[in-house]
Amino acid sequence: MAISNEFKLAMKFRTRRRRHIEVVVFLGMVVIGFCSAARPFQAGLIYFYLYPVMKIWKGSYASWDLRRRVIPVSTLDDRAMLEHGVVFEELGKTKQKEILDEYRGGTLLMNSFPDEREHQLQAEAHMRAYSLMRVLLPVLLLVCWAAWRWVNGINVLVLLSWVVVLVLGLPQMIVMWTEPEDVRELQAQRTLEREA
Amino acid sequence: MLYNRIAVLRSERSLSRADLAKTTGVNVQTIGFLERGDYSPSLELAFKISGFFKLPVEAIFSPEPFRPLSDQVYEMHRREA
Repeated sequence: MAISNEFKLAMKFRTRRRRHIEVVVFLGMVVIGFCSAARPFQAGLIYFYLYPVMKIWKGSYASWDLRRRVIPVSTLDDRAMLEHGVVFEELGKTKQKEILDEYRGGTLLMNSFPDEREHQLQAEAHMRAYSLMRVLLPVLLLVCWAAWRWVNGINVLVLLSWVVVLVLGLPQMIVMWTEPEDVRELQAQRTLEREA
Repeated sequence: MLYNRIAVLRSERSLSRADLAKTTGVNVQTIGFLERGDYSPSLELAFKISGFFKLPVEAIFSPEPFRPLSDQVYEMHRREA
């Protein structure tokens, strides 16, 4: 029995550092998206325009909400690592029995519902995003209008589509940036990093 | 910030976070956040937790840091004597 690769990957992608990288990539993509609007729109490159939007949508806007609830637990060591930060054999008899009683092979350990803390986290993120966007959105729309008015060949639709991506993705990005790490997960992540 | 004695009470009764989470209807992570003082519970959750431990809310939650239980018990014994 060993720690599964799925579990290692899941833990790696849950670290706060990793989430921060994803947020920076998201913002970078949005900036590139804004810049790409300066090029004249070509129907043949529709995939080029849509791919980053879809990628961001899938990867950042929707994914973290699911990822934060699901941890693949395939082996006893995965479970022991998640619960206690050590492999199964290093646990005492009582803890081993607790894990054996609850363990089901191939299942996903997950929070099946968002509780009051998660609702509060979401509400705070939406509030922060709203506070930011109420300033940023008029500025962006003004920039869009100015670009359309004075820059030749600018594609306002591409520009606006990136504004929409930013508006929809921002609350999730704020959650990803601010959500603290779970202590149990942090312990498991440190052990895995040490072993690697 | 709201201080609490959830970790001590849970440990005294040999209960896991999962047991407490299941009874109070929150996720296991939330119990961890509560125990570390990273999250202040709603009134509803505070009452559910106090009901679970069969103790008054003020015995579990306080706006001031709790004194160690051993100090309080010792002082009580001294007062009785």
